[in-house]
Amino acid sequence: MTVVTVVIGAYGLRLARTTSDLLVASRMVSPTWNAAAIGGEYLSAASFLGVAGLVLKHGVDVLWYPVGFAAGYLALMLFVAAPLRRSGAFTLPDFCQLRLRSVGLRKLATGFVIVIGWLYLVPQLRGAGLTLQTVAGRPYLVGVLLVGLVVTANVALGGMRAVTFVQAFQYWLKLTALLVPMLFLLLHWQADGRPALAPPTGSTFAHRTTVTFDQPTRLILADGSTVDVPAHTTRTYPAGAPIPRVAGGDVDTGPDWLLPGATTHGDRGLLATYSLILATFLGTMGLPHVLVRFYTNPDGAAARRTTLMVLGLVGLFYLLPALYGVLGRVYTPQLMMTGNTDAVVLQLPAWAAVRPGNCSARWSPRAPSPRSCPARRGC
Amino acid sequence: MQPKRVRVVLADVAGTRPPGEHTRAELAEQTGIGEALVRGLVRAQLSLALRCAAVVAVGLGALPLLFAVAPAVAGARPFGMVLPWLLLGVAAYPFLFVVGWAYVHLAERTERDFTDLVERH
Repeated sequence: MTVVTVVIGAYGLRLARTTSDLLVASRMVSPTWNAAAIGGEYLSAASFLGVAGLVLKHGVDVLWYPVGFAAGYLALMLFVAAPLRRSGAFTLPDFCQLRLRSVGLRKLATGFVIVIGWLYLVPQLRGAGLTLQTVAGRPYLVGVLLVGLVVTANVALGGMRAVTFVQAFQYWLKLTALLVPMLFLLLHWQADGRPALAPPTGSTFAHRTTVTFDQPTRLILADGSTVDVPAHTTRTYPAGAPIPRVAGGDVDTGPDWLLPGATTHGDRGLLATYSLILATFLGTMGLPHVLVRFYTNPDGAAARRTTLMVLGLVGLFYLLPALYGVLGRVYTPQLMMTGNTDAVVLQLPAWAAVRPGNCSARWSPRAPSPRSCPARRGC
Repeated sequence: MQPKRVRVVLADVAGTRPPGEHTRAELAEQTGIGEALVRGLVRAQLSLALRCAAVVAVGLGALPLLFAVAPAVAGARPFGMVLPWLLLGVAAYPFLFVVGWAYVHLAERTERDFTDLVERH
C-alpha cells in the first residue's frame, strides 16, 4: 500500500510542473477519476468501521449516519459544486477572497481549514502508529513518522494529480476489501438457513465462547438477575446460551433492535434523529478536503456530474457497513458483550468461518484493544 | 513539450481571474447581455436546487416522524425485510441518486436553453 502510494507520487512528480498542476491538477481530472478520489477520501476507516459497529449496537436508528453522509453530497451538488468550480479559485481561502474581496476572511478561512485538517490528521496518524505497532511490532512513533513522511512527500512533490490517483485507487481497494468477504458471508448465512438477526428471546452465542474478564464486572442475565464477576476470571458459555448484558454497557441485545426508536441507550429520541439528519445532510458542504477536489474539475457542469457519481459510489459502498453490522448480530454476538463493536468488520469474516467449537473473547473495557480471539479455523 | 517548472506561490490569486475559463455561464456574461438575464438564470438554478432539496427533505425527513406516529408501518415486513431497514439501508441511496440525476439533467437543460437564447440575439 505504502509502496504503491510512493510510486504513484513519483509518477505525479514528473507531471506536476506549474502552480495549477500542483493545486488543481490543471483542472483536467475527469468526473470518473474525481468521483472515485472523493469516495476514497471520504470513506475513511472511521466511517465504515464505526457505522458497522454502531449498527450492531443500536440497530436501524444509526442507519441515518450513512444516509446522511450520502445525502450531504446531494446538498453539496445542489448548492455548492458548480459555483465553487466556476469561481476560478485554487483553494477555499482563495474562493472567500475572490468572492467577497476580503483578506481578513481569507485568513479566517485558512484558520478553519487548518483546524479541520488537524482534527482529521491526528486520528489518521494515531491509526497509522497503532497499525504498525500491532502488525509489525514497531514502536508507535515509527508508524506515525513513516506515514506522515510518505504522505507529506507525496502531496508536496506529486501535487493534486498524484493525490487523485492514490485516492481513486483507495476507493476501489476499500470497496473490494469489504465487498468480497461480504459476498461469502451472505452465502454462508444462506447456507446456514438464514438464522434470525434478532431472535425474539434475545441474542445468543453463536459458538461455544470463553470470555475473559480483565476487570470486575457486573452481568445482567436474561431473566433480569445480576451476577458479579471478579477480575481475571474466565467463563465459558455454550453455543445458544443467551448473552448477558454488561451493566453500564450501551448495547441493545433484545429483539427491539430491529425497530426504529427502540434504543434505550444514549439520547436517541426523535429530536436526536432530526438533529443527526440536519448535521449530516448539511455537514458535507463544510469539509475543505472534499471541496478542494471540486476545483480540479474541467468546468461547473463536470463538477455536478462528479458529485452525481460520488452519490452513486458512496451509496454503493454504504450498503456494506450496514450488512456487516447486521450479520455481526448473528456471527459475532460476543461483541455485544465486550462492547468492542467497532471491530465487527475485522472480526466477522474470521468468526463466521469458525465451525462449532471453542472460541474466546476478552472483556477489558479500558485496555486499548480488547481482544476476542478466534484461532482462525476450528478453534 | 512540457511546461517549465515554476515556484508555487499561494497568495497571489487576488484579482487574477485565470484565463481560458470557458464555462457556459461566463460565456454568457461576456456577451454583454443584460444583467437581468443572468440574474434570471441564477434564480432559475437556485429554485431548481431548492425544489430538489425539498423533495429529499420530505422524502427522507418525514420517515422518523412516520415511524414514530405509526409503529405499525415501522414493523411492516415487505419482501421479508423490516420496512425501516429496507428504506434506510437500501432504498435511500438510489432515491438520492435519482434526485441528483434529475437535478443535473434539468440544470444542464436550463444552461443550454440560456446559451441558445444568448446566441440567437
